[in-house]
Amino acid sequence: MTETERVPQQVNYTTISPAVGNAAQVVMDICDELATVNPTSIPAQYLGDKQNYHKAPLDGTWKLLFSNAADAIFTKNSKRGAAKIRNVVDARRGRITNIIDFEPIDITTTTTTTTTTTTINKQDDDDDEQAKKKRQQKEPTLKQLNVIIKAKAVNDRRVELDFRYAKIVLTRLLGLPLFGRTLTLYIPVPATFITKTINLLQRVARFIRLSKQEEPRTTKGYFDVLYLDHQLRVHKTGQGNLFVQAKEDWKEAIPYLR
Amino acid sequence: MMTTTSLPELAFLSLLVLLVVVPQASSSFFATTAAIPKTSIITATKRAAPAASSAFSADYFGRPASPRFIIILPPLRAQEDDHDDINNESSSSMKASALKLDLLQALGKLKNVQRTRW
Repeated sequence: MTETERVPQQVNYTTISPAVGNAAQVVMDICDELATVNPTSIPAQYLGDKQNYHKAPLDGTWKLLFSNAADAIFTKNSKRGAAKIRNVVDARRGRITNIIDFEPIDITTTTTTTTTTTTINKQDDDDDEQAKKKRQQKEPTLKQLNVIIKAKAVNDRRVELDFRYAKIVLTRLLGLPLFGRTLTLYIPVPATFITKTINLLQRVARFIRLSKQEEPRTTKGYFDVLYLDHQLRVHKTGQGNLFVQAKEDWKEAIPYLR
Repeated sequence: MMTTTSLPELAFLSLLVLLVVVPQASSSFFATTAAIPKTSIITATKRAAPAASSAFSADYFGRPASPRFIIILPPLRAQEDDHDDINNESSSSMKASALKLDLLQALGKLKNVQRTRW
């Protein structure tokens, strides 16, 4: 998020390296070209339609291939750790759930070994190396984060988003282990919760003063579908963040899923 | 002296009209359309199209002329449009497939360069 507004920052790939920047730009240029040959004329069709939801082109589970949104990128070297991201569109309920599964954290432990014989075969060498650097994996405290969003089609290709709440799955609570169990907490998304609270207070104040002030504006998020077929989805959010997602049945794309 | 036409005579005359007059009037039309290949008809139709309104009011049965093709204009034009739509759709689909492959290659390249940085 930026300091001035609650908008996810964009990743400037060029700051990582010119080569990364160029490679990311190629991806974004191809997305622009794909938008010109979009085979789905009404991508937002049947979203929230209780009868025809099964025909909704957006329906299903989408996995991330690429994004320039800072919030959508999780790497091993980042503070948040590596994670797999899914975007589940439930067309019947008009709901989108962003599911972030955090991967186990690698812990490298070093152990001391003493060599007593000079005749050590290769297998022993390998064992020593493994003993020196013994890799362990630890469950992350935050195992899964779900963000539940109400989705509404506002035109053929635009989907308006109303963030409802977040569901977090923890493996520890206040540093204490849960002995293999998980704890699920439901929390209202701060932006929505705070905005709703402020709006409610303003309405109460207006009612008391009986003044005719302008209705406060609520800025809802949205995305425009640029390309959609049964395998690939490309969309751009209102903040200009690009998302490239694929379904798992597109086998060729599996190696590139984040 | 008045002559009356009996029913058998009337039937015979009607049959004569049906068998001789109508085929003669329409034979040139059917013969012409049957002989011309489909693509030629489309081309001829395209050329005749601007004169459509005046052509149709011309001497239809008497004089064989290109504007008579106007009668078969709507279905042929629709067929032509269908072909165009199919061609556009397939070329668009082919372009999309090629772009999807390009996208995967670009993602692979991005992944490789990122691996060296992160």
